Amino acid sequence: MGKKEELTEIVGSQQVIVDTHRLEKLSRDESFVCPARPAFIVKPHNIDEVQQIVKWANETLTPLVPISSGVPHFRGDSVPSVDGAVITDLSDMKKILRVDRKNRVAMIEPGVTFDELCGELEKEGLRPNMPLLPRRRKSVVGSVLEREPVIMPKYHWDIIDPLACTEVIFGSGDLYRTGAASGPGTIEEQWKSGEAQKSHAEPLADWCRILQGAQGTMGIVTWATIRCELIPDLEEPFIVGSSSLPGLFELIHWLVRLRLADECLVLNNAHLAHILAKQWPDEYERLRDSLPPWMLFFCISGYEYYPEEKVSYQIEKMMDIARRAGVKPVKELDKVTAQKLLKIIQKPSEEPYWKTRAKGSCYDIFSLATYDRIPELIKVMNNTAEENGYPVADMGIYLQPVVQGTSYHCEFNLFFNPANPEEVNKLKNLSHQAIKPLMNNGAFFSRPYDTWVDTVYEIDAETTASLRKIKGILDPNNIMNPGKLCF
Amino acid sequence: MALSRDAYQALEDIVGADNITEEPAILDAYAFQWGLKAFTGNPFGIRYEAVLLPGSTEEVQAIVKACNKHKIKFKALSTGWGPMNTTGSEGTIQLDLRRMNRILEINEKAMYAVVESYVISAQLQAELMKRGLTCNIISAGSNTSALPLAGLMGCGPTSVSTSYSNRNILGVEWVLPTGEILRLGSLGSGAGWFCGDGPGPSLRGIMRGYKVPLGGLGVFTKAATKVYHWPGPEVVQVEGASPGYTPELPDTITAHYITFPSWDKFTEAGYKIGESEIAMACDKLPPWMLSLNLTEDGREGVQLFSKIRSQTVDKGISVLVVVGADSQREFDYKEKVLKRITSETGGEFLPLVEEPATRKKLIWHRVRATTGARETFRLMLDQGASFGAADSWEFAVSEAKEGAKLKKKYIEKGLIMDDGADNAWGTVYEHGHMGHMDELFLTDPTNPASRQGMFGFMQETWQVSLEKSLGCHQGVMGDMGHDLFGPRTSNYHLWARKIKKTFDPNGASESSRYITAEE
Ligand SMILES: Cc1cc2nc3c(=O)[nH]c(=O)nc-3n(C[C@H](O)[C@H](O)[C@H](O)COP(=O)(O)OP(=O)(O)OC[C@H]3O[C@@H](n4cnc5c(N)ncnc54)[C@H](O)[C@@H]3O)c2cc1C
Ligand SMILES: Cc1cc2nc3c(=O)[nH]c(=O)nc-3n(C[C@H](O)[C@H](O)[C@H](O)COP(=O)(O)OP(=O)(O)OC[C@H]3O[C@@H](n4cnc5c(N)ncnc54)[C@H](O)[C@@H]3O)c2cc1C
Repeated sequence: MGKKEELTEIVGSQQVIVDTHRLEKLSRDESFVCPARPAFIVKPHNIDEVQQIVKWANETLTPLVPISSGVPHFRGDSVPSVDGAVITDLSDMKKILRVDRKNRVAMIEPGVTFDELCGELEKEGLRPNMPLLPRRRKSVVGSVLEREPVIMPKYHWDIIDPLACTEVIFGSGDLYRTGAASGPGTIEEQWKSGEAQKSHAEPLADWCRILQGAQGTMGIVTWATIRCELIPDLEEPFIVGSSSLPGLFELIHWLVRLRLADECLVLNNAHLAHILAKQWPDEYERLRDSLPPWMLFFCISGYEYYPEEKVSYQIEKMMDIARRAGVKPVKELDKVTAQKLLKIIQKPSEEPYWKTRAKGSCYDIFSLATYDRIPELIKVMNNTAEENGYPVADMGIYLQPVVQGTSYHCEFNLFFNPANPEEVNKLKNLSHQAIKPLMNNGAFFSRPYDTWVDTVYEIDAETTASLRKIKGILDPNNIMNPGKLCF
Repeated sequence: MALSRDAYQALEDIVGADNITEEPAILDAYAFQWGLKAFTGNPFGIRYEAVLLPGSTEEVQAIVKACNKHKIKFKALSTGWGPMNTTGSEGTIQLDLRRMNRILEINEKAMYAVVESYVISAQLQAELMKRGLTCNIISAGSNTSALPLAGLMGCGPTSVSTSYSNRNILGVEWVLPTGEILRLGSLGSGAGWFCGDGPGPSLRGIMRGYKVPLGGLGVFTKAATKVYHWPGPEVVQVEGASPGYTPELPDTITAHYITFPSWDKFTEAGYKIGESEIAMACDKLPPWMLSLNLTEDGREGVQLFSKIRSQTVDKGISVLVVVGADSQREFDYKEKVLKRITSETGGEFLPLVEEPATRKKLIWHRVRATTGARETFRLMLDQGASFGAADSWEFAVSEAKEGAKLKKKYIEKGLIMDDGADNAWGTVYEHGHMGHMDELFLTDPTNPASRQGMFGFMQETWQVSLEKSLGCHQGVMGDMGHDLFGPRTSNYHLWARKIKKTFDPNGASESSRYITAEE
């Protein structure tokens, strides 16, 4: 029996895809990783099938690349690094297994998208702590496994949030449940005792943290529990425009420290213009040129108890801090209303995905840094962009305070036309040249992708060695997405 | 089994003769642990072979390498507050980290502090308060280490607003059991202390779980921990002597002790207080502990307990809430919400705690965590704790309910001291997102039947946890406990053993309280 027949036995013939066109599509994405052609796509329905696939891959030493989201893919992590891999596509596992209002948590399979989850949560008065404008078909589990930053930093207590527990088939083929879900007892028995799979740690380890940021190199997650937050009763959003960052950072520090704001993020004019514009280039350029260089957006929210009173004293306090910081929160800035922006970022992106609207594609370079290093990082990127002939005025910048304001996710968006080889080449050079100087100026690449990986691991030999030891424990035959990260 | 002279000399060469000893009297002092007595009948554990006081990460690293070379085991301690500091095997040396006691950085704007192992929470908090900040302090007391990798699981009285240590960790410097130095996250990339995760998977995942590895996986020399806002003064003037400390605090910080008519109402109130984000502390301080906290000695404590029993234990379940605010408006809002929640859930304020002097003492007890030993040990009885896993608040309440139910039987038989049965301490974490509860109990060390009673109670609580899915107890330590819970808990023990084996191939980091590599 050939590999295709063996896989068909596990999942059924409908679920093994050999269509050359579709395989070709998954052999590349919007990043610059070298294309490698997968052998098949296999689409399991449930954990038993996932486990059989992983066991089969161990026996046949076939590389597996797990994916959960629909196209487009961006960061090269779901493009096989080696030929002959089997893409394990979990997008058919779409069940929302539980929504628990009281404990603010949802248990979902990897195929569930933000669109689908938001809809179900809303019925219970809940919402996810979302990344900024994910694409419609982005898997929620995929997003939390990637440690994507979320837009409400006050609920981001730990970098693992909003991920809580998972059910996983490790690369070894073993089934494991992380965190409180590990037991004692089955999940149903745990529910009876009031447990809601909120605690991500087992007694002696916190394996979920190993699955996160692993780009599918450790195992395949078959469900996850996601921390959720309440939908507010009253929302008062604000925008603060500024030509420089220090005043905004000062205000953000207090907004997070005093738990005044729910949503809280900073965008530059190009970024916001890309989000808002519907027509290119006219509307985009008009917006970009009329907006101030930086915009802080935040929302003060009131909940069940006396929401007006809460929001009112919080606004008073916020205004006082803003005055001292020398910045001015407003409800409308150059015809952009805070309310409109709030509604936009509380949902996944409209189709077509906002990052692809302008030029067809977008390349992101992102890292973590403390607030005081960000101006230097921006300088580095501006210089590198200029050197490579990329128009600095069109570079999007997104600054997201994370983990209760301890650092910022600092993201540069380089919009480009993938059909234009000259533009692609320029960008390849740019991304290659930017990483080292960014690192030298305080950027930490906690989630390295694409061609940055080597530069990032090169300087931390002990972390690299330790990660490889763990990989040896969970995936001894190196079948899970081989070639990624330092594996 | 004394150390070979070669080995001793090698260790002495690292720390200098002043910082190593094998004096029997000193070794006995390190082998002494009050908490051990309840379990073994003897407060002395196995003697360490030597005690060393390393002064730097480099010295710790050299010691660890020497231990691997000379086949000696080592075990680090910070303040040595708990019985888990004893060694389970002969041939172990103790690394007392008291010379590593510096606060290395407080980054006010990025809200973190970097500490060495022997910085205690009282020291860190005093420095933080000067900057309008505070930190999570474990309920063992502010006299224990501020390192989020010492302690046991790391929650404390203010965890509702300050989370708990596993979720507060940022960058870490870690001397692995083989002597390599691992710097987690941004630290390893040379970017500073602000993140402990990546590049790629986060090694925090093997460093600790809900509990720390209790000395069994190398030595943590420095770590960054998240800090939080403090709405009180920069320096708090305190009058009186222990335990009657009375702090000078603004009127915008207050405390209430509220008793709810049933477990259900208590649970509901916990969720509501959490979600509305009005509490700085929200811990289930049982009336028994409250009484011992507020009084000068044990006898007075018992008397006070009898006095408030009818207003608390006999009426339902109680919680202590500390409310703090930066402005009068904020304070008024929070108080109004608390009153509304209390009325919706049928709660009653305990008049004693509404008295300003008592209230101030209690606020200080919670914020400063000053009563860990007093509320538990003052009666000179043997004290223990059961349950103590964390998940949802409702789950935490199930632990407490089950604990009280089981304990009642033992109280009625006269085997366990009558502390009202419900003597569970625990707290809401992160404004209602999680919670945990451990059931405390006291037995009479002079009565063998009482000790047997304690073992019976502990055993029953473990059994109930396995049968009713009440989590893996905080007190489950060492191979025996993990081999019992592991098979019903996704075999977590087998995976942890793989970590131990892979990262400590020579078994140098003494791990009888963690887990050993032996299957
Ligand atoms: C009354 C009372 C209440 C308690 N309440 C709590 C509580 O609320 N939360 C909680 O978490 N615990 C609690 N405990 C349990 C425990 O005793 C303490 O957490 C702990 O002992 C506090 O001291 P420490 O943090 O200085 O750590 P230590 O007692 O010094 O050490 C604790 C463990 O960690 C290891 N260790 C310490 N430092 C290092 C290091 N630098 N590198 C490697 N290993 C190290 C030690 O080997 C030991 O096994 C309580 C104990 C008592 C007596
Ligand atoms: C981690 C830990 C675990 C413990 N476990 C237990 C246990 O299981 N069982 C147990 O019985 N004990 C235990 N103890 C000891 C117990 O906590 C204390 O002995 C008890 O709490 C007395 O504390 P206190 O606050 O009442 O007295 P403290 O103020 O601490 O005084 C200690 C002793 O000195 C006396 N004293 C205080 N001031 C004076 C003075 N001016 N002149 C003369 N004498 C004075 C007191 O009467 C008391 O006997 C433990 C202690 C620790 C740190």
